[in-house]
Amino acid sequence: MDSIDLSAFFITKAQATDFSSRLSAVVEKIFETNFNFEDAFSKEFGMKKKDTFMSLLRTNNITLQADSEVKNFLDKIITTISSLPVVSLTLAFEPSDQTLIAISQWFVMNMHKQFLLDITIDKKLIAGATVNCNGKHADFSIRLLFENILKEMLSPPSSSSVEQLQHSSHDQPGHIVGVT
Amino acid sequence: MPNLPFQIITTTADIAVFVFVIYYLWRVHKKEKTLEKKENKVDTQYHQIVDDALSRERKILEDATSEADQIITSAEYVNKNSTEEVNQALHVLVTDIEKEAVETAKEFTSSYSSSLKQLTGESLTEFQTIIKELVADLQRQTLEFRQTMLPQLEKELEAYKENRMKQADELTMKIIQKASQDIFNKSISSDDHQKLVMDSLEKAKKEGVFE
Repeated sequence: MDSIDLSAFFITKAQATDFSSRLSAVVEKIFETNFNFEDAFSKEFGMKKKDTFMSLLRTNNITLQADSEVKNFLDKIITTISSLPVVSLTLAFEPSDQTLIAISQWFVMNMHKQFLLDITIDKKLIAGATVNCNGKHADFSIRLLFENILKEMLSPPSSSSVEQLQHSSHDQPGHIVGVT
Repeated sequence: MPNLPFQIITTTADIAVFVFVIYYLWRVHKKEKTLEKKENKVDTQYHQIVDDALSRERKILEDATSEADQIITSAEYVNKNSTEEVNQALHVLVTDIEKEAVETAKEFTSSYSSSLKQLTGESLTEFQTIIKELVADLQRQTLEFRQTMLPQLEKELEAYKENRMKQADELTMKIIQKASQDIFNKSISSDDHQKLVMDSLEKAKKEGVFE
């Protein structure tokens, strides 16, 4: 088992932390007498996630009867969670669950691994997003463009400068502000 | 035979004892009578004394009551007389005071009006002098103001106006910016927002942000 796909269980960093701590609670109870994994898991995460996790166990050939195997697998999941990369996105709107799923799936499809999302809302961006990952920051929002247009409109414009601005807005790349 | 003197002696002793007892009882009865007499006498005297004291007490009370009545009657009479005399004296006093007050008021009014007239005359002359000086001062200051302070004031006013206009422009800019941001933000649908976010991710991938 090389990489485990945990995107069905969590999308954001906060969700991942919560999932990891609940999973640790389940791990602690594994060797207790009369421990039932399915009951414990459904109690912590609900029926839907329990079913998904059961299919994940089956996919990874883990049998519920072997407690030590289950424990090792859960420990591996916890380790995987802590090693998942985090991308900080600043958005101009409150994303719905569908949007978050779509963003998470984009990373799985394009980067071939799960990224944990750390979402911040800043309505001043107007639209688009700023991306912060691996110490790199890039601003792909339309705020700067908007501010420039507004300045041009409010101050006496010269026609050439407006045309220049319109041309530059069409294929404006996001600029990497800095590397931290 | 030896019993006979003994019997005689015994009988004599008995008779003596009997006589003694009779005498003693008679004496006791007599004393009792004497005591009874004395007791009645004392009782009579006691009642006499008590009756005496009661009659004297009544007399004293009657005398005291009649004297008190006399005193009250005379006091009322004095009070009534005094009140009338005091009222008359007060009436006379009030009349005198009124007369004096009227005279004093007349004197005060006449002296005050004459003082006022005098003061008015003097004040008017002084006032005219002061007004002339004020007018001259004012003309001098107006000229000074026109020559020196007015240009400076105009300059300061212009600078202030410029500053306020600049502030107003900045504030307007901020308001328009904020309002436009909010309007644009709200006018873009969720799907369009999502699409723009996806475009941003694509651009970030191209620039190697995720590597």
